[in-house]
Amino acid sequence: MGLASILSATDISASGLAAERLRMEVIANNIANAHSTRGANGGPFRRQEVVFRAAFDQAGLAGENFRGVQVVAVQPDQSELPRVYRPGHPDADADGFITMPNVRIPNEMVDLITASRGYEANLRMLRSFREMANNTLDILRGA
Amino acid sequence: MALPSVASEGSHGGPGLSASTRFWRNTADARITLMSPNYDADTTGMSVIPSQFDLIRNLLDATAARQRVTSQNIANVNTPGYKAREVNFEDQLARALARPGDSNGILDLAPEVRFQDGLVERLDGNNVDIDRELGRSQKNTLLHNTYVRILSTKISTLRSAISGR
Repeated sequence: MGLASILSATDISASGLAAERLRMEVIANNIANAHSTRGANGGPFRRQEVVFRAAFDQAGLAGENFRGVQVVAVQPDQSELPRVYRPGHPDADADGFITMPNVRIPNEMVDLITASRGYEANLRMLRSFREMANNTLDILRGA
Repeated sequence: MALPSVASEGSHGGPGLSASTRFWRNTADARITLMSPNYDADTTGMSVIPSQFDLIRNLLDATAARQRVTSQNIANVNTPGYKAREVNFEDQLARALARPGDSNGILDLAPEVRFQDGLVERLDGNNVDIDRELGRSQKNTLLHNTYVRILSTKISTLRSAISGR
């Protein structure tokens, strides 16, 4: 067993940390733009969603080929945009309605909590792995 | 030598013989077959026998693999459709120990990765139970530390034998 493979559990946890942090960033961006009626493509802001995929070297169950989690895409949520009656708004149409972003704050908060818990769990795995690795390396020191 | 899931298997072997005792007795058998015919079985635990290091290395490999698998499960706690895996080594070890006279097979055991069963799937098809995984990781770390301690004790015994102090 090579050193790279001994330390590969670190990479797995690191991929989890990176993925959960990206998810938190996207959620923060969604919340920040919950009322942005002018998004990047002209229309109102659309809620962004992160797509995760479990990463393997090859498909299969052998122990050596785990590569953690992979962020495949950050995609706009295509659900319907709510229309709100705000006649005084600069973006209101002829009937006085504006189209708002499809961001729902409670949903985003729930996602934020799961992302944060996921991040903590990955961090804890990293710590316990470090403890294991340090103990193993102590053999070299001649305990 | 603590091997919880093996020790709980009471159906194997003779009465009054714990799994760990059988484990070391079987490795003693393995040593005897490896050595010359007039080699006396080591009863002091002082002799330098590679198979003991190999066995501990096997156990360490299993804990390292389990750590990777648990990390993978936790990294994918929010991946839709992901199914939790686990490492099965102690069951294999118990089966190998139950085989009469076939103790050399113990050294050829490799940790096997399989899907966990009996878990409740969430709506997104993911069945990772984060508390279970964290508990598993804690237990695995303790096991790993135990094996490392055994190994380093063996090495320091060896060192004091070499240095003669």
